[in-house]
Order: sequence, then C-alpha cells, then structure tokens
Amino acid sequence: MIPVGFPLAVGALLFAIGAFGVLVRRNAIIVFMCIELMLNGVNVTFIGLSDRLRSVDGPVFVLFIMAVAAAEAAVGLAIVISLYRRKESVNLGDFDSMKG
Amino acid sequence: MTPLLALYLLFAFGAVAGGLNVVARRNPVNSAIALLFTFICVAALYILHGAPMLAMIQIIVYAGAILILVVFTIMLLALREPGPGLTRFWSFPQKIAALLACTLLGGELLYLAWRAVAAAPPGAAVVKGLGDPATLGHAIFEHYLLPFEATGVLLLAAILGAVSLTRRPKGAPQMAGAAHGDETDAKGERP
Repeated sequence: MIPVGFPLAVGALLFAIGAFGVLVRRNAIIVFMCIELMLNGVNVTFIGLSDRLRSVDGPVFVLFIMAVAAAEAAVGLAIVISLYRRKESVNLGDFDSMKG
Repeated sequence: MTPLLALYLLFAFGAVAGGLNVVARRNPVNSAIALLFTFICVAALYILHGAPMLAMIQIIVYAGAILILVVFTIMLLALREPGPGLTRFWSFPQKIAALLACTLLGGELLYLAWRAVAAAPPGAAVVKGLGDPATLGHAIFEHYLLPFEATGVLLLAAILGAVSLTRRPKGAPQMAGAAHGDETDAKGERP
C-alpha cells in the first residue's frame, strides 16, 4: 500500500506548478492547460486520500471534476477562439478593455 | 522500497516533470505534448492506487477529448510566432512575486501532506475495490444520482455555450489569420 504522503505531495506539486503557470504565462491556451494541471493535482489528492480511507466518495468526486473539466474545456476554448477573432491574438496582455 | 513504491515514484516524477514542461515551454504544441505526458503518468498513479476505471476515464476524457480540443484550437488559430515564453523572466517583479507565492503555496501543501502522514487514521476498509466499475456505479446511481444528472445538464449547457460563443454572426468577415488556404466557412462552403 502506498503511503498517503506521496499522493498528497504529488497533488500539491501539480497544483502549485499549475498556479504558477496561470500567474506567469500570457498565452491563453497555456494558461488554460495550466488550469487542467491544477485540476489533475486535486484529482490525485482525492484518489490518494480515498485509497487511504477506503471510501468510494473520492473516485465519484473525481468523475464529477472530470465532467466539469470537460465543460470548462469546451467553453474556455470557445472563448479563446472568439477572443482571437476579435484581436488576432491569444496574448492575455492584449485584452485590457475592462482596465482590470 | 517495494517495487510498487518505486513504480509510484517513477510516475510521480514523470507527472511533475511534465507539469514543469507545460509551464516552461515556449511553443503551445510542446506544452500540449508535456500535458499529455502528465495525464498518462497521472492515469498510471490511479492504477497504482487501485482505481483502473478512473485511469481509463482519465485517458479517454483528458488525453482523448480535452487535449485533442486544445491541440485542435492551436492548429485552428495558426499562430505565427510562439509568443513570449519564460524568457526575460527575472526582469518582471510581478513574475518573481508569483514564483514566491506559488513556492509558498506548494511548500504549505507539502507541509500539510507531511503532517497527514503522521495524523491520518488507519483505513477502515469500507469498500474493497476503490475504482472498479461495480462499486463506482453503485455509488453514482444510488447515492449521487442527483449530482450525476446535474452533471449532464452542465455538459448540455457547456455545449450550447460553446456553440453560441464560436458561431460567426451573419455577414461577418472570414476569421482573421485564416484568409488564405482552402478553409471552409461555418456553413461548410468554400469562401
């Protein structure tokens, strides 16, 4: 049996790397991929803990997270395409019309 | 160290290395390949945790559907230059601040993981197979039926949203950057 610290460490690293990518990259598609990376870190944590606690709730939640990730992929990439149509760019620095 | 643990460490290292490549690569296609590598390594971790069903779904949904969609978008946009990568990283103070914040976040989560090793109670052996289809199916269709149906509605809403976001208004010009070549427009007709 795998000690519970390993999946928690892998999940923590994947989540932190993904968060770093979201913060520093300016390419919208790569930011999008980094969000997927963060979701995967959460999934690894869920699986590791439910393996430890022998509970089936973790895998069910992972299934739901995957469904949400699929929905997010469809809508997110549609947004990227329509942004590109407007400005011919996927650089997030170019989209500042809301002065955020 | 047991062989199982060695295998786990190998795939865990692969997943983290793939994740680092996703962030560091300049070209989005290279990032997508690194992300594929990460997804496969994470699926292997699921198998080692005794959840083969989830590993298969991970491969099908993430590597099969989401990543194909990402690569398809990259191809569709036909980006000329890769765009700014992590070059001249150290000249941006806000990026260094982001690195510090994420190191802090990762360190905190790792500390919690290290604490959990000492604090976690031994397993109570509730279920036998963690991710085998029968156990998962019983859990979904007996205890989580309403969230499951809500997921279906969410996916339907996502489909409709994606279609309405990418639909070109009538009479709008051809998509920018795709003016030459033999692309067809939204109705499948040659421009």
